Amino acid sequence: MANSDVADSAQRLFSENVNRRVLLEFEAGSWPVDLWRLVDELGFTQVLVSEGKGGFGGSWSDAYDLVRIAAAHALPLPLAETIVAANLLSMAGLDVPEGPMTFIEQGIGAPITLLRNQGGLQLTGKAHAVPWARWSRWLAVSGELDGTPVIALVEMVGNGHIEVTELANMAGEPRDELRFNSAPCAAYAVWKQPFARPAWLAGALVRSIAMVGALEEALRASLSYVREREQFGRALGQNQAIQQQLAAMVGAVSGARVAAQVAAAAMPGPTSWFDVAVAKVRAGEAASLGSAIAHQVHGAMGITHEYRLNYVTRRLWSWRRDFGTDAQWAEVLGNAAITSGGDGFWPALTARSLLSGPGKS
Amino acid sequence: MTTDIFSIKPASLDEKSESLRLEVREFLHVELKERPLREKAKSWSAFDAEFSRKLGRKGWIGMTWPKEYGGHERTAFERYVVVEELLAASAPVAAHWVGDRQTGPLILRYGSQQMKRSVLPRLASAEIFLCVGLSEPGTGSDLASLRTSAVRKGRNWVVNGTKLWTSIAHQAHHMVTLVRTGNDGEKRHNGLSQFLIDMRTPGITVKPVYSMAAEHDFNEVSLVNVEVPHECLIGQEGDGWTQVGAELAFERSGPERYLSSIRLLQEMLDAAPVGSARHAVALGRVVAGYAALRQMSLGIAGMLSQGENPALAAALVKDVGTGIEQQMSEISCDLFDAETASAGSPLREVEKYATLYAPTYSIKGGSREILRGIVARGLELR
Repeated sequence: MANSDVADSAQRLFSENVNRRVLLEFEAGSWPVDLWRLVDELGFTQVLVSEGKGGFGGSWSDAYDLVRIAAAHALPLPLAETIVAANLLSMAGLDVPEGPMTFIEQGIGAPITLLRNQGGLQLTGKAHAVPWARWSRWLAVSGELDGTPVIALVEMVGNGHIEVTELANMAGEPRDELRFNSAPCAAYAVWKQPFARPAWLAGALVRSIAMVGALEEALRASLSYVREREQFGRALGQNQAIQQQLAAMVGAVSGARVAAQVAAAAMPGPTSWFDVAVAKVRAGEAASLGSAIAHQVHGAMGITHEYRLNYVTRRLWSWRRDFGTDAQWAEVLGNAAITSGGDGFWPALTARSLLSGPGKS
Repeated sequence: MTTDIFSIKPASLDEKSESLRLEVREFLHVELKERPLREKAKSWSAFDAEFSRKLGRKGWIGMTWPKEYGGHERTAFERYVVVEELLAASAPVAAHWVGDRQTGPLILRYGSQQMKRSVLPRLASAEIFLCVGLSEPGTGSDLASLRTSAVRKGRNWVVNGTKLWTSIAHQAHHMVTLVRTGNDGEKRHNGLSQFLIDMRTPGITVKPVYSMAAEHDFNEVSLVNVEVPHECLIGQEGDGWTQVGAELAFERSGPERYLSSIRLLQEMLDAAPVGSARHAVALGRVVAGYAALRQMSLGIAGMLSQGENPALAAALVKDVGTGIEQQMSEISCDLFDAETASAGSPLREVEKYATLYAPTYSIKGGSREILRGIVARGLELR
């Protein structure tokens, strides 16, 4: 499937199926099972799974389109999470099971230990803010076993060794707390790729992309609103005060978009830690600025639950915190830049080599 | 969707450009070793004719122009690399900057064969320098309101008026001058034309205008009955407005839009204590801004080289870039107290310039409000 085909079919599917009723039912606590089936049938979840493992063999640029378009529609499904989990399993050489999945990175918000047990692996500890955990059938875990990086697969459904505390972000998306009590892993494999902490990295990338998609939707809605809404006898958009704000928002969105596109195009690669750090900082900053401007130009209309804008802005405000806030990623970048010093900074910037791993934050 | 016209296609540099980078770095390392910090702080406002001539001899001015006119037929990306390395090293580029960035391409596009032959090779070798006369005492953002006029007199034009804020007019050999040559009633943009005027022509007086940094960057140029040969008209009579618009697209998207204060960032990185979260977060945000702007600027360079006209995206780069530039001196003041940034310390010296120059970034080359107005027009709001 070519890049534009993925985008077109995602655009069509989500515009036809993600409506207000679906979003309201989701926020009331129900899992949109029909919609999941449609998404799954089109193979979107397998976009980053190698063809040898039965997937698409697509690139992160394909995933970019899917995640961006899903976010613009406020798709209430763990599509990005399943794409990432499937990618981790596939890259580790494991078979990719059916059903919705999520993922965690050991050590960052997830103090867990992995132990060998009778030829298999067991998981003990806690994980915070795990996206969509309660509705996920599988959990991909990126962690270390005796100092060696591994990817492990845990079955969530019917697993008596996992206690799920249901929590949610302000958009109603599950961000559950998990307690593992010697939870058995269904499979595991050594992670041989040349970059560390892959789940955290991929998580930050998909949220950066999602924020770009949600910002594009907030911008589209704002432009359409200020062209139609009239006050003082003319369209709101004819006021310079409104124009100047929207122009500033376009600048912020454009910077975040380029950063996310560059990070997706190079993923996974030697520049990925740097590219993703830049993308997450810029997307988070743009989310703050863009949400504020979108609401300001919408006036009181934008704050009603009925009007669509809040479905993307509540996600933008939430996603800033997922997989590292923009301040946390900025700290990592800043520490690396301070260590490189005034003379080392520019060569590292042009080589995009300022970060080669998770760094210290 | 209307916002597609703001799309920037990410570009990556080829190996040839990256190997040129190493050559440029090596050259600059040697050339700029002894250069005082206060000169580096002035970034691309610093003038050094001899340095520009050395660059000309290296073939690093007019890089993309045809060899026929003294250019070197290198790619847009090779030029991009040279330009960003010059800025990152805080090299004194003011002498050739305007000619290389905008006036050379302008003459290449609109100038007569004779003008191209006589001017471009001397620009590329940094034998001559150019300044640009746009603003006037009564004319800033509303450029089309300018009053300097040119009236036809036989084979010549007679120019009268005053130009203001003209950088390097006291050192330049020619001035590209936007004047009114006709009056089309309502359509005031139509009667404008540009001339390339020799600064030695009788009737031209240049007076310095000192900036608040006590530097002589700007000038007031008065033109009293200045007789200019018809051959000095750039392109067609009445095309001035279109020409200026095209020039500004080049002026707005280059790496100077975020690299003018890099010396301050480098001093801050050296002065920041390792392990301080407060310093790391603030400086890390700047680093992310630099990286994102670099990708935007590079993407636009790629689009320009493919014959596209990303004028709207270029306006965004300037808006976002000047925003970051202006935050830098604030960040420096927030992070470093009077002891760390003591008067006379390198940090303080550089910070002073960054602070005093910061307000100009969102004024020259189109004020922030004008740029956002251009963006709003692209959004079909006006």
